[in-house]
Amino acid sequence: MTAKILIFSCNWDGWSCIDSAANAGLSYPVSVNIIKLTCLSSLNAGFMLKAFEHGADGVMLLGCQNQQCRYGQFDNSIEIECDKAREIIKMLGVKGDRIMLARLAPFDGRGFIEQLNGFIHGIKNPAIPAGAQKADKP
Amino acid sequence: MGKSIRAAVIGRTIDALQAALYLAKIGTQVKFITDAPAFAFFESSGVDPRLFWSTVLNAIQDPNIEFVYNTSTVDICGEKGNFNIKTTQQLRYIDSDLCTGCKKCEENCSTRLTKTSDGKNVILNAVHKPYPGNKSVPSTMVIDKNGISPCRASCPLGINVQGFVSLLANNKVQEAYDLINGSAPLGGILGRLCKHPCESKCSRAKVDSAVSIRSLHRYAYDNVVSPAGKHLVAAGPASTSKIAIIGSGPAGLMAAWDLKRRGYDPTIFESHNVIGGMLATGIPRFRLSREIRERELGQLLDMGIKIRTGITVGPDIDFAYLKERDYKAFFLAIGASRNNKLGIEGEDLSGVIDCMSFLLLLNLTDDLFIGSNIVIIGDGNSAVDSARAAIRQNKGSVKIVSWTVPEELTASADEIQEAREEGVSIEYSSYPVEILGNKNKVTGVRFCRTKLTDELMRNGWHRPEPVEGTDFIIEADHVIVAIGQSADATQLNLEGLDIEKASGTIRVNPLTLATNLPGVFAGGDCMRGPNNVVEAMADGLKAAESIDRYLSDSDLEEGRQIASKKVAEVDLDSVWAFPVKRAEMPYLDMESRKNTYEETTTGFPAQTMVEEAQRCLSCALCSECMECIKVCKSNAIRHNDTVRHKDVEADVILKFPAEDMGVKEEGPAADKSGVYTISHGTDRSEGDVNVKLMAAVMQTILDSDLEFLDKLSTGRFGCDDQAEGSHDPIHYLEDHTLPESKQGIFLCRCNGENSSAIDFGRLSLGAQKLNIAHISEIEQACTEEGAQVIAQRWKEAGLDRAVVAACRCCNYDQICYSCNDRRILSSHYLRRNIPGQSSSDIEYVNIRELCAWAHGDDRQSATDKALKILEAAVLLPPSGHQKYERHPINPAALFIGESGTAKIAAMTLEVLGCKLFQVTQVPDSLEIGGQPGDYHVKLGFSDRNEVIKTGTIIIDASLKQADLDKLGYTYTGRLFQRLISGMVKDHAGSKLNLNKYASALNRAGLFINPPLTGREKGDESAQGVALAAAILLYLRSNWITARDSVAQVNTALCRGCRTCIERCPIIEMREGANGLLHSHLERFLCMGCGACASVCPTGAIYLSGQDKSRIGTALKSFLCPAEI
Repeated sequence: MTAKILIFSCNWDGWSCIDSAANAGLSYPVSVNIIKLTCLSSLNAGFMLKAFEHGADGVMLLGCQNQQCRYGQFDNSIEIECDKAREIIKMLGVKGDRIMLARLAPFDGRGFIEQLNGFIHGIKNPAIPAGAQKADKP
Repeated sequence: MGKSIRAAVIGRTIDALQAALYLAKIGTQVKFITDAPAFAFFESSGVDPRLFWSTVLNAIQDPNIEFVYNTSTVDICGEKGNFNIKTTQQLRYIDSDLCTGCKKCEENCSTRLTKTSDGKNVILNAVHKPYPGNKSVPSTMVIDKNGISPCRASCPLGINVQGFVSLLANNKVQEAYDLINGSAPLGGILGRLCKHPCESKCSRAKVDSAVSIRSLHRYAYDNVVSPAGKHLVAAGPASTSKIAIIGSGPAGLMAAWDLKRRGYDPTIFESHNVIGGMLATGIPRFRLSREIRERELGQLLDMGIKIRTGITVGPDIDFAYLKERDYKAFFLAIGASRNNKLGIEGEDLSGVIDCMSFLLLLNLTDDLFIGSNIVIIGDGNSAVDSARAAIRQNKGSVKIVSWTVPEELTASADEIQEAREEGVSIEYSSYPVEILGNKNKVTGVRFCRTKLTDELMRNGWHRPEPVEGTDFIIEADHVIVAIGQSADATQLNLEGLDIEKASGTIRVNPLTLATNLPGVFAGGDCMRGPNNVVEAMADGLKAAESIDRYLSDSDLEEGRQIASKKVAEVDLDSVWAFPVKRAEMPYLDMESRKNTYEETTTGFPAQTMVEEAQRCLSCALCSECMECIKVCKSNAIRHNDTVRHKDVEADVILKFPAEDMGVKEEGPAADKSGVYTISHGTDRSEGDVNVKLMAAVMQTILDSDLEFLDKLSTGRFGCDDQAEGSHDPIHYLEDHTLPESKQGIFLCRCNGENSSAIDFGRLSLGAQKLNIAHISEIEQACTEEGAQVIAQRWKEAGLDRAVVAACRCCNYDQICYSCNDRRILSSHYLRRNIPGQSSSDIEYVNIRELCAWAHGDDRQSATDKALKILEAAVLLPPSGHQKYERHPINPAALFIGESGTAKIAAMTLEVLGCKLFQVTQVPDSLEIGGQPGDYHVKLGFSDRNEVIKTGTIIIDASLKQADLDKLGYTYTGRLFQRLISGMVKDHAGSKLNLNKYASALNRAGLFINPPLTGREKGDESAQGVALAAAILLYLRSNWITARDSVAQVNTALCRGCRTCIERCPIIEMREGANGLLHSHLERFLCMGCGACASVCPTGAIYLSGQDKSRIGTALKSFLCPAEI
């Protein structure tokens, strides 16, 4: 069973990597799902936790490299939000490495796949401990 | 309003594109002429790929730019204000408007080419993407062609030889069979007997030896699965006119076949009791088996061709008889069956027989007696056939006696080889003098030796002449005379027919085959003299065309001159070919061969056939096998396009020499007035500073004469012409509550790209459980036709919303640099065909890249994924895009401060007709009110106060911080701070750039000068012009429009904590009606990144399209989908 990964990708450099990967015929596990956002700066820790609540085994944040934001959001708010979320899942008994922030150069499809595969391999035991996950099937 | 300026931009670089885009945006009509087939990004260019793609994608959808691809400039005529650019367009053989780049044609293409791309040898198909393996825009395919192949050009029947060979190379036997039949049937016969002029012209001989085309032709016919085909279907009656065809040989049969297909009703008159002419009477069975002959001729007769056998026209019935019976047209194809005589003593002895009679007897009789010592005089194919037939009948000696040397025999080399193997001996350089006999019975032949003279005969060989005193005798009890046949048209008894006396052949017009008698045509051996089956068949087809024209009263000759297409020559240096031995035709083993009349050759095995076909060098590149046409759902392929020369008109021309050309064309000196060569050599390490480029373009405009400037200045300043605005505004609905919305799903098959990787059936079943009103498949969502289908079904099903599952990823009105032309077009066409819809009524989801491509090897997974994506899209609450809102930009510029660049910029703008305010003295107080595009600037001086209304504000970068501080913590103040600090930090904000970083700065109309960073001091004039260019660009957009997805502040929830202000420069605090401070967000400047919303502790900021409910729904659908 492959880990369920949710990717929050920014619309610009992040999405260009995903698109390039598909154009280059690179594949990734089907258990990886992608939500596209305008900018990672629009994401707060709450959404990351929400993903774990719904059963994600890992959350990957895919965005641009430092100082490359299309919107000029050059502060590191996403890193702060990541740290917040990591602290909280640690309290629930889940290692912080379940959240990964990948900053890639635009159109780096291969880099995206490498980062993603590395992330998936790093998740040794996909099952989130009981109690940390709330059954929320509609 | 003045007429727009027409500018032509010639080039292929990013600078050329940016210049074109700039010109378009300030209201110029631009023709972009590029020799490139499309735009593609290359690392080596050193350009930021984001800049590259956003420029390309913005440019291709700018209505003021028309692209002329694949086109080189031949000449520039005329003068400034009235140029006429002569161009030549390399054809791509694909209609760019229709092609969606789905690559189905490429998958089905049968021709592989080797090509050099980026210094590497690559194998690609004849139809391919312009830059294989690299994204290109437009995504249209391109077909490589190079005239027509020599084999095809040399085929008298016009068979597309390279086409069927390429099909066979892909083991497409049926397709090859069908392709050949489009030109001519009887492939089993041609594949055995044709003299294959194609092989003589085959370019492969330059590498090793010609491709064995005839044997491949034969393979297609011997191995086809369903021999019935379109070519055997007679057309409905076109005419009741009766046509008589005299002779059922290859010429007569072909004429009958073609006429039948054209809807006529021909009747063949044949003097023998068998049909086929020479095929039946003159070709021995070991070369053409009776089964093949009967099968192939039978197929033709089954079309309903009437045959009268045993009737010799001339002696039995005459033409008057036929005319009385209403025959309106005649085709004379009686062949050449009169045997040439030796004209020597003893020719009438018993035991002397001519070869035609001999072969006829042999073909029709089973137990023919022949003696044991046989001499055949002659060296043509009939002689060899006779010898080979004789040796099967007789175990004695069979000797061919030729008058010439071994190198100059008339018969084909492979037949001679076969005959030798079977035991036939050949005597060379011998000339018959007398046939010897005893009691009326032949006993031998006396020959003398010959020597070659310099005289060349009609067949190109040297004429031998007898040498006296060299007589010798060869004993024989049978002599077969095989020194050729000749025509004898006199036997027709057709009065007035023009016959060549010496040869007995009928004289015709070679183009139409018309004889001197009206309605009478002639072809085949009776017109040419003895020749090959392929020429005779070609005559039959030609005659059918003539008869069709004759009977329908059309001109016989018009348009029939064979169009001289360029015959392809292979450049062996660019072809990647290793010597591969030509495949040998397999034979029966010698023992069975000698004892049988059955065919001695067995045909290629499948593997040999494919390997042999793959030896083809594809001289013409595309083989025109037409397999692409079969799979193209958009009907975009145009194989018959011809080279286009087009004139492009322009007032002014900008040339951008290609950077990789090495040699830079120097300055405009060499150009005529009005033609500007811009090679400013942008230093790419600077990122993408395009200030220089804009300065160059602007300078070009300024260099033009005043009339030209007049046109520009009376152009589009102000907003009065906006009704006919070039940008198609999107209509947003104000009220977007749709509690009972009827939702539909449209699945794009992408011409099979999606539907083959994803199980659409399961997808539909699964999706139907989502409580939707409609689901259906469409072939392609990115075509006008596709959009019309969606619109039609939308209407029929009464939908309010729909999910379009194709390759587009969002419903925003923005261009991401990872987008492509098809995605842009799909929303463009849908918007056009479903009027009145809000952009948020259609959710686009990408099932191509994200499912079909990412999981293409696993149909199950790809389908699961697509289902999840669909579910999420259906369940998503509407994105609630904002109401479309815009207001005009006040076409004025306010300069604050005093500097040289500002002066130059102001002067430039003045020339262009812009309203100017210049404040050289820094005011004591400065307050900017109003809104972007229409600022109300309050300037306070010691002696007076002034209010200036302007669209743009330009301040000197040298202003002191204290002066800037007067602006306070307003958004304008902070944007100016950003601009100034940007100069110092050298990040994107400071750069005047058309595309990159679509930040609020670009929309605010705020500028600083100089526009260049400190490093590039010096050229004050260029900087001033560039600043003017940037201001002009802003003012010329005329309207400031809010984006469809922007953040909004609910002031009731805002508690004025200022957290959002730290994230975004366009938010400022304002006092509300209740006297409390709250965040105010300048919506015309908001880019919709959402940074403010994510930090708002009270949830007062809402970002349409990306609010919590949408992200939450998507999360749930992806991670714990309902059991569907």
